[in-house]
Amino acid sequence: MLRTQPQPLVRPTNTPLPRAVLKFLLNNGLLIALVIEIAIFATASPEIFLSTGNLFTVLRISATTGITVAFYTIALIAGQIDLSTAQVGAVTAVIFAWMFAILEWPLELSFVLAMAFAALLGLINSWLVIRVKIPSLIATLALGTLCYGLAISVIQSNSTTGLIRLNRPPLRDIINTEIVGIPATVILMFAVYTIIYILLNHTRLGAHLYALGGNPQAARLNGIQDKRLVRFALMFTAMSAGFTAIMIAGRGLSAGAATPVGGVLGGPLVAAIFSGVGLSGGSGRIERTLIGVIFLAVLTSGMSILNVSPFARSMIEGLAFVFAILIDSVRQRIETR
Amino acid sequence: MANSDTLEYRNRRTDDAQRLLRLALDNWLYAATILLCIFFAFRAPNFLTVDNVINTLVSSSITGIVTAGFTIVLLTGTIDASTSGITALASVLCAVMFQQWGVPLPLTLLLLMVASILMGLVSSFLIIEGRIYSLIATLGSSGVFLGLSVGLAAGQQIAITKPELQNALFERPLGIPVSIWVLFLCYLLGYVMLNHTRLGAHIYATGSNYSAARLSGIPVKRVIRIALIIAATTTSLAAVLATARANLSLLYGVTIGGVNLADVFTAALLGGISLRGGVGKIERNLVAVLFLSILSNGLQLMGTAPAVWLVIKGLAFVGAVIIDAVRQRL
Repeated sequence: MLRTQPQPLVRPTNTPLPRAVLKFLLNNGLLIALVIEIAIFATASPEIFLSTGNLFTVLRISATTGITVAFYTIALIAGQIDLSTAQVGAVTAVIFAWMFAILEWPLELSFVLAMAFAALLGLINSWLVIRVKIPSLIATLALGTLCYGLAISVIQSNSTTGLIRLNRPPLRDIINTEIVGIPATVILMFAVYTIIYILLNHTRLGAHLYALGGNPQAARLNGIQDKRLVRFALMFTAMSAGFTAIMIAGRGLSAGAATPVGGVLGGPLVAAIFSGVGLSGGSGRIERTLIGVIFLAVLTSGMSILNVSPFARSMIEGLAFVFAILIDSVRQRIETR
Repeated sequence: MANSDTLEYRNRRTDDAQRLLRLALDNWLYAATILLCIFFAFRAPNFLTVDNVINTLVSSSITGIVTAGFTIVLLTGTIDASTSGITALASVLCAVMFQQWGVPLPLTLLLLMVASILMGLVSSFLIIEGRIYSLIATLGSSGVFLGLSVGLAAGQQIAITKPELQNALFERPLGIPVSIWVLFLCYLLGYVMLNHTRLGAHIYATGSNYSAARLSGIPVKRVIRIALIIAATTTSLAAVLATARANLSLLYGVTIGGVNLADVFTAALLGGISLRGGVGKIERNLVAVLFLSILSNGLQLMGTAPAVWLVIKGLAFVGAVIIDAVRQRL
């Protein structure tokens, strides 16, 4: 199975209409939900929500989480669940801050070393998965706990406030660079999604990733290099988590070990599941992930414009998530029928 | 002749080696706990005082109680990640009912038990009727519970000024604090249930082979539902103890005494509960919880930085996972 929906050779001409409609709704539910969501917020607060400023806010929020979620989607398609992203991100950002702000090393060097460290963590994750043969879910949860401890110990030996200050000048300017009036991070996000789209849909690597997630046994027997793919997926997830955390730290001018809070739906796993990437591997579409990320960003910005109480906010997020996973389970059942 | 002899000898030797390895894997935790106690008895001041022993037990009680329920769910081959949501909601419910609505303490506890049954039913509905992978379903229900708790508490921590709750916690029947009684009672009940009742046998059967259990007439769905309800109940119980100790509701379940999912996982894996279900003993889990608690306590008494403990905890988790994987392959 190379794609989410195996196409029958001869398309049955007599698909009952209600089912066709249902299928269309389920496959494009997220897009429809996004349109409805924008319509609701736009009618509730037309002058603020529909401004260019808010458009950029939404895109910037999407870019912050979106890059990690994109690579996370690859990992999930390959059948790997990574629960260590928050902690890998934290320890990468803290080590970056330590090199850049305390040892005062040049920006490029600190950045490259921090990213190499994140890659190493991804490599350890994949070693646990491939060599020790532990399910990725547990391996990454374990490594995440270790990373959290490491982050805390680096912070505590360098600072008393629980945060490492990052106020050396060049960093923030670089993060806030704008190209033709568009934030560089937003451009980067769209570039990442485009590249991953091509990679997943038009290269052999992409086909192999879907095949590995869909049926690991069959993929291995067909000579697919499963170990290399798992290593690839987990390393890039860890690196993107580190990159995002450095970006957040640079914008906030300090690095700490608190998990980047984003309400109930903060983690990339939840965002990816929300976007309909199957957990069992082999299914998921990167364009749907992008829509999901934007949906969540619109939700965040819209609710803060409407001044929704934190109570209602976490309720809405939690319910949206439950709703999304229920819809996804219905879709899978219809597809396999 | 000679050939078959050596073959037999070689077979016996690998058998012996395997048996030794298995023996080591099954019992290393007991040995490690004893060695740890001996080490700290010499190196950590005040380690072997009655007060400290009681302190260690009390500090292990909350994670321990949660782990008991978590273990039972794991044994059915299900993973319950709703710990933090249940902790938060139970704690806030306890504070709201007891403090703000003035419900008497016994009734509060009774209503909380009802609430935890409902919480377990929500998770099991998503897993069984929604056919969603348990980890994701419980992440979802956890999100809903967290949202509800933030709403009930209006986004802040509720201070409890009525003294009965904390007084009840500080009672010492037979000189032993209430939370230790609750901890041992949970494990005793769990032990009896798992080893001497039909439900226990069904739990192991469901976890070790779901389809076979279903085909032999075991009500697998009901077994999983009951396991989730048990886990929700023990988690709520732990939440009440933590709330009583702090005299505050736990916002998001992460403030003082909050339960970390990773801690519960570490304890369960160190205790040899298999993640694939059906394998493991609950009493070994209790030892694992005590092991972690003793380690933490001893390091504190020796004056090491709290961060060291966090790193060690992470290493323990990774180690437990590797040991579990090695055991699987035997």
